[in-house]
Amino acid sequence: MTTERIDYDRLVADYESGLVDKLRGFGPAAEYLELWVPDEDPIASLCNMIDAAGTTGIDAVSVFIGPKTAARLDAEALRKAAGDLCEIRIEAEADGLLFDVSNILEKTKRAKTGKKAVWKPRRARQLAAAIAKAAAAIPANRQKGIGPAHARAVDRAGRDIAREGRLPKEDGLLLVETAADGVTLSLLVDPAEHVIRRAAHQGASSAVDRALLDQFCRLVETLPIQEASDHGVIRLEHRLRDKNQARPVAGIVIPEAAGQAFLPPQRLIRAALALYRDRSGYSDSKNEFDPRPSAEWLALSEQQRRQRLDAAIAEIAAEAGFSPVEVEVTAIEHGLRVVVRFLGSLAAADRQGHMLIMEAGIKEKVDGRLELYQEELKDGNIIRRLSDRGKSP
Amino acid sequence: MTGMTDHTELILDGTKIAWHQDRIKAWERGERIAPITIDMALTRACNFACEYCYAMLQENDRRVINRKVIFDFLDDCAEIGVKGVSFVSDGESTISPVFSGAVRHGDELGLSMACGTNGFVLTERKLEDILAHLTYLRVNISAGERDRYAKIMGVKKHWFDRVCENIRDMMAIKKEHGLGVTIGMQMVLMPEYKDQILPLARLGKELRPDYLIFKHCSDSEDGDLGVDYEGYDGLYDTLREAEALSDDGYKVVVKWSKIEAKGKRSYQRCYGPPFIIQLSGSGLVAPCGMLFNERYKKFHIGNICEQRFKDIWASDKYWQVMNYLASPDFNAQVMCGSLCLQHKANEALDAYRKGQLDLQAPSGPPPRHLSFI
Repeated sequence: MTTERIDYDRLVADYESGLVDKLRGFGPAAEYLELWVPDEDPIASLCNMIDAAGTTGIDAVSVFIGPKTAARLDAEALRKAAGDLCEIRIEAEADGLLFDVSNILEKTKRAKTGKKAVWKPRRARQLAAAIAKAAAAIPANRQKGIGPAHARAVDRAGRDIAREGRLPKEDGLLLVETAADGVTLSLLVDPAEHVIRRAAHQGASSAVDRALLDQFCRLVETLPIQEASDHGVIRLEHRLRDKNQARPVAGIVIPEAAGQAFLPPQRLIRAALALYRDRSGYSDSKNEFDPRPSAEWLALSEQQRRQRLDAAIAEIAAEAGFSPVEVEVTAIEHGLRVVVRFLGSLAAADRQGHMLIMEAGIKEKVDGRLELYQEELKDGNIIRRLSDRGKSP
Repeated sequence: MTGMTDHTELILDGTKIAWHQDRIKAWERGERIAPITIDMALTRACNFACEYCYAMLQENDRRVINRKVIFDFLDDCAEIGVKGVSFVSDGESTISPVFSGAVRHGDELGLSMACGTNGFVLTERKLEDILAHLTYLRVNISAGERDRYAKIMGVKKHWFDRVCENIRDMMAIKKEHGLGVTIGMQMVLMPEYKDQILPLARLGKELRPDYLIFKHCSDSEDGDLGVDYEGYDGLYDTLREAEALSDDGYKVVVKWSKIEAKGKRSYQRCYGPPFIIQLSGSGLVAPCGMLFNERYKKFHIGNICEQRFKDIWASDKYWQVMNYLASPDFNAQVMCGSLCLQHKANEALDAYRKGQLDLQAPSGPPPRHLSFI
């Protein structure tokens, strides 16, 4: 059998570049090394190589190690570490070292790492104090009523109350009324589509509660009652929040953590849904409500949509201080997914941050249902997609 | 409805999130919580080329996770309170030069470590090095016969024999040393692989892992991989036949809840990522693997090759992205691929927030692998 000669440094370099460049079907060039994985420690790496060769039936290899690796390799330590895997002869060659490795098959039959595989005592308990400290490091900023992030919108809403009172019965609609702590929520629901047509409130004792309930009633009109119960209060909190201020809590904004004043509408709408189910026999809890873009947007041609988007991006760019010519709209998918490409200095900037700014901007200036994406990045490898089966190449 | 599975000894088709009441309560109070579980890869590369590979859709700017990067990352995980780190995600971590060292280091820090792998390079010598440090090791093996294995997984036929040999070695080492590691096999099941369900279940019975699991295949929001979710209906009888091959030491499990979901979601808000987050093998920190592609740049929070994870976690950008997913701006039903890693946690948290599920601490002893929710 011919002894294989390996240029170790080149092999490692190829392996490392392959890890970045070759997404699938990756592996060392030599088939007999297909089980080999290098290690940053050259001794471990060479032992892995000998083990890989032996496992695939190779009995001897010759490994040349260049000067750079040789300089940080303790040859005697290698001889010792590899001693139970093979016979090894080490010679100086050029500026490096040549390892002639033989008798792998016989030795690897018996080879073991020698390490005893036992569970080690863990440091979990030692870490407990550090974990508790880290968790407590950022205090939650819970608001009892309503916090500064919502104060301005709630104040404005308080000066424009339009849904206060009780609703009269209407033909073809089911009147649902629920009350808690002196507050009544009245809904007129279309039993054919389970959509709230009108909503009103009465009895709120504080200005904040009154304003929130009024905004809530406006918001849920036209929503399916299931959606109003599932996400109405989330939508309310999100709509009233001043996005220019810090979020009301450090972590995830759950409405009642943002302000306890969001609890009453939540309780009332859930009770209303339960009552509606009881009266109408509606039992489906599936919720796939997805607001469509506005009729105005949908009526536009592709060219008109692009013009609207370009104009909005120009405004957003002026506000955020970047050049609008560095953003190109490349597609509008399904009428609502706007795909962009960044050019020039923006391509190397914080694209994530710019995307969120731009998405918020086009939602505000063009249509609230639009989404923003960057162009998809595709890998150069052949994708064995099942959906491509049967298609012409 | 229930998002929880009865807490049998090993939960493979459900979520364990209800056992983490401290995190749930802190999350509800609006506090910044550390993820309980992080799923990641040490590289984007893989020596296989499976035809159902979702990673082909997850392309993002490539970086190299070297020893310093992964050791710093694991140190940060331990410091902020992460409980479990699994090497699965979008690459084959066992071919990374830092794999063994990372497994050992994570375990020594007190983190639960786990790995999903094709198992090819995990020869006996390497297994002896790592098995004692793992909570579970799961081998992806999507066929029970040599020829079909090579076709489905895009490799040479003899690689099937090597993987089987490695699984035998895993079980032998586990038994010899009395290790607590759970060894599993997993088939990513496509309707067209029906012919391999029973051969694989029988192969498992011979190799004797702790379990064999059959799971659905994920697809993108536009169905780029072409998974026929309706086609799973025709597999039910065969899957039940496979389950019947279970015995005292070998459990055949079907992820019925996900297969029967047919790629649909009951929820729109995505609450799971603060509890279970994914990192790409490029070092990219994003809420979820389905958002790895550069297309989803707005969700890309940072990269551990450039910034310490504890700083990324504490950054406003991290919480801005997490809040986006929990807000009305996001709808997982139409903006995400199917059946993601966070799916069961999302189901439970969403139902809880809607008042449809009582997410109290379950009674009785906790299940195994609690750090992997």
